[in-house]
Amino acid sequence: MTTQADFIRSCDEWLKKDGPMHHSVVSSRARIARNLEHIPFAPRARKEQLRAVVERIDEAIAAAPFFSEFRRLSIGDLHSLYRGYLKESHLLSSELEQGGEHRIIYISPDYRISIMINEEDHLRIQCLDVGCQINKVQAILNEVEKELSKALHFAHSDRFGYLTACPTNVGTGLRLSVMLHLPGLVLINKIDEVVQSILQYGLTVRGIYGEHSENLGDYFQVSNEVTLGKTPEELFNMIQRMTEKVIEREVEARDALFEQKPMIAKDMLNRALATLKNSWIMDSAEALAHLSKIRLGINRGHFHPLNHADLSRLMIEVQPNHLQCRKGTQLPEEQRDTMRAEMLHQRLKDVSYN
Amino acid sequence: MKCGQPATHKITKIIKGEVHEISLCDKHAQEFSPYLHIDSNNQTKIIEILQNILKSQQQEPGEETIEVKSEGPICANCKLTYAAYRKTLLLGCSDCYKAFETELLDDLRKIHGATSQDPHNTPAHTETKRHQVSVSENDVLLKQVIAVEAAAKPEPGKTPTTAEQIILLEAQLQAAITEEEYQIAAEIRDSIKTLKEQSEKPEE
Repeated sequence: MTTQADFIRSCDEWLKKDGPMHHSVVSSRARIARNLEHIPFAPRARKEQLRAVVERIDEAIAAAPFFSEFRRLSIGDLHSLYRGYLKESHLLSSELEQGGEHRIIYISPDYRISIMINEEDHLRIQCLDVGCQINKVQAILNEVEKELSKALHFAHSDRFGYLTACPTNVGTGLRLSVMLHLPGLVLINKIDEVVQSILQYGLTVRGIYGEHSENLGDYFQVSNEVTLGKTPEELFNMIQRMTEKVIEREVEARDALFEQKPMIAKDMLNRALATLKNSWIMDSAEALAHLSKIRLGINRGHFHPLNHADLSRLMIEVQPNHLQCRKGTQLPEEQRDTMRAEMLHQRLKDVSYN
Repeated sequence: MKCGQPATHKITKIIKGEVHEISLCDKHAQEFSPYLHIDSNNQTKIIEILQNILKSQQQEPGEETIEVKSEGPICANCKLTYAAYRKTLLLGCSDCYKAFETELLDDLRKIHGATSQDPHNTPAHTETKRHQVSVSENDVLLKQVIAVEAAAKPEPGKTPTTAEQIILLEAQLQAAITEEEYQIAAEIRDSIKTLKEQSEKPEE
């Protein structure tokens, strides 16, 4: 049995594989919110009630062989660096990153499934996978829910569907999202247009890196906004169709850039690699900007021996908590920036443009 | 205006020192804020509302305060009141959905363009879809604004604290400035000044 620290530090394993449409879709995620009946929702519950929720769910998980290999972590006992690490790897929500008592997370051995207890809702279950695999993560999520509902009765009404602490989640309680990498659209200045059309479709778009969710690294997370009045199948269709359309636009944008402005593209890719290989101070925003170009270059046949999965992981490994966990301690910003630069030298030393 | 109606109202909200401006049509403006009162001539009668509120603030101590609005229904299971829910947009327990069933419909319509999980019960999606866009952009703002408004409203039966009164007056001050009613704004500013001075005096 690995130590807790080692377990957490390996939680990017799921990103190592290649996935469908990996050049533009980094990952897919399905998440549901569920609550037990009558016990107050987590924000309002008293300590004994939160403890009771944990006990009930622990029992249900212990009783199901499906979960026998899952690892249980107590959020309150985790150091903030490790909470941050899990959040950067998309396993933990920002709500749980804050810490708190009577909050538990169960993680599957392949790191793709996480079950959070006493987030805003009693249960938040999430399933991740690489590339565009929304139907797959949704199917796995359904299986997890089925297993849990053998012993637990989720609060539900005929009128409002599954009941959640915040009305923004009521109904299906289902949030489907894709993490898109769209450097082509950003570079040819078509991204605003595409974002607008995604919004018009009833989906939300936000950046996932940066304090204010700016689109650092040319990453965009697209999710359904509405959870009530639509079936899970309808939500799947919405997001699948939109993702396919956006991928088409992104591929067009990349083709346009590389065919019409090959010198500009070549210059941009080479500068990105050269900067990453030769800097001694590198902040995460700049790192993400350059790594985004490298990831784009890989799609066009450059930067052997790197592949898309390597970059998906690298863009997480340059995040502050990942860096600090490598050293095992909190570090001031200056030291993180030099550590980041050194790590990038290391990882890119055998990489060239061709 | 994203709902298709002309934007006849511009609302300026000050939240944590930042100015936010929202343009809304008549219907959504009325839904948006209880402080706005739109009469049949579509004139925003902010000034009348301000004057009424100022009057009620100036009651002699010992007089009974006017009941502003009831707390609304209360959940028998977790004891959350509807008014408390409005402050955070978080419900207390699964039973709250029964307790506040009618009241929740408005929020659900704004958030999801639907009021139930059964598609046959939902209104036509067409006009609400584009409105969803404006809600998604303003959702965080909406929550913050509701919190500010609710925080500023005194609980009925209790005399508003000085701090509560000051918050209320400051919001009214901004509204008066937006409406270019500088005479009223000056009066409100004086009231705020007086209240602040009072609160700095040692307790008697």
